[in-house]
Amino acid sequence: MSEGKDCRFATLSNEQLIELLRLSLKGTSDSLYLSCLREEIVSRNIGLVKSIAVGFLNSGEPLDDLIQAGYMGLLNAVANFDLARNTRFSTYASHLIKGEIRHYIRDKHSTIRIPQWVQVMNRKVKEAEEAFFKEEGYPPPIAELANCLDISESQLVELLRGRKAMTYISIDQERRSVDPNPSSPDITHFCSRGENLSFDFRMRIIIAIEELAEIKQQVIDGLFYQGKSQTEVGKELGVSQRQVSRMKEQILREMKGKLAGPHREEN
Amino acid sequence: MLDLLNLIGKVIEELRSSIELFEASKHEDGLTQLSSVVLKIDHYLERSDDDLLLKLVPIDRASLGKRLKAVKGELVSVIESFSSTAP
Repeated sequence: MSEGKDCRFATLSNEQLIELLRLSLKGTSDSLYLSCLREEIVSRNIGLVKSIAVGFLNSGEPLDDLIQAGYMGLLNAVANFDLARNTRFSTYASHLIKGEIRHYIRDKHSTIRIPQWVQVMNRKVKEAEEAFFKEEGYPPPIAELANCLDISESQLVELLRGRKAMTYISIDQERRSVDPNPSSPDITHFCSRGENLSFDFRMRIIIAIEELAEIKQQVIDGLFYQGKSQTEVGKELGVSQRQVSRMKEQILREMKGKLAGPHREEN
Repeated sequence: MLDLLNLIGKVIEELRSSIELFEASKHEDGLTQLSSVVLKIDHYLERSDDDLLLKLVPIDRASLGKRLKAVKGELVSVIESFSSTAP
């Protein structure tokens, strides 16, 4: 592209250039000739890549990156265009360029893509929290907040769990975009006045409990459903099958004791 | 030596109890309870190599350590935030 257009190819169509490229690849053309041919095809179509990339600017990605992705689509089009299909090269190339740009955007956003309903509910939760706080001077307890949103407490807890897992970045982005003077995201913003545990603190402790319960479940699954015989486990640990059996029995007894309640727990 | 299941059982009970204490405006007790959980997790992490239970289950110890540390970190952060804002 640095040398500008090669006048040898000026009168040829895109399709003819590609056919020429194919024939040249099969023949004995020198590398400089091939390079010029490729550059001519690309330079003729770079405008097409740019115009398609501009249509994806609302994705939030920089134009240069979109063009770069589209350029890959153009190269694929050059490599795979089938003259026998009776389709214009520009039509075929457009399809591949758009495909590459879409892939690029999907890959970039896959880790922070948030379902629409979660975004809507998050906004409602935020508004309800702020409205309550403004009126009462302290953050809403879960029951109050659920009532404001007209959903059950358990649904609200579920929603907040999802919010924590998926939307920290996004909520901040949303807040930054609408608030010219955003406050600090510090959780103390919604801290209680002292009578109750604040909403955020409660959720964070509950999430800690859930994480621990999940670890516990994994351990129990591994302990009883891993499909290894006690002899196999014993060999791995360097203890007898009988010792493995005793260990498992002891664990089972303790679990049974806990299930029966603290007043019946045996030690 | 506390095994992992025992540790989690005790810690979950204490965390639930801490929520109740905070709800009942017993902030000092709630914080003490949370601190006790943090100490228990720390204590376990220091001695987890001796936990026979872990030898019985196919669990990735590095990942387990990270998860327990993450829980501990979150609780420490709650303690610090609460301490700085409590009346």
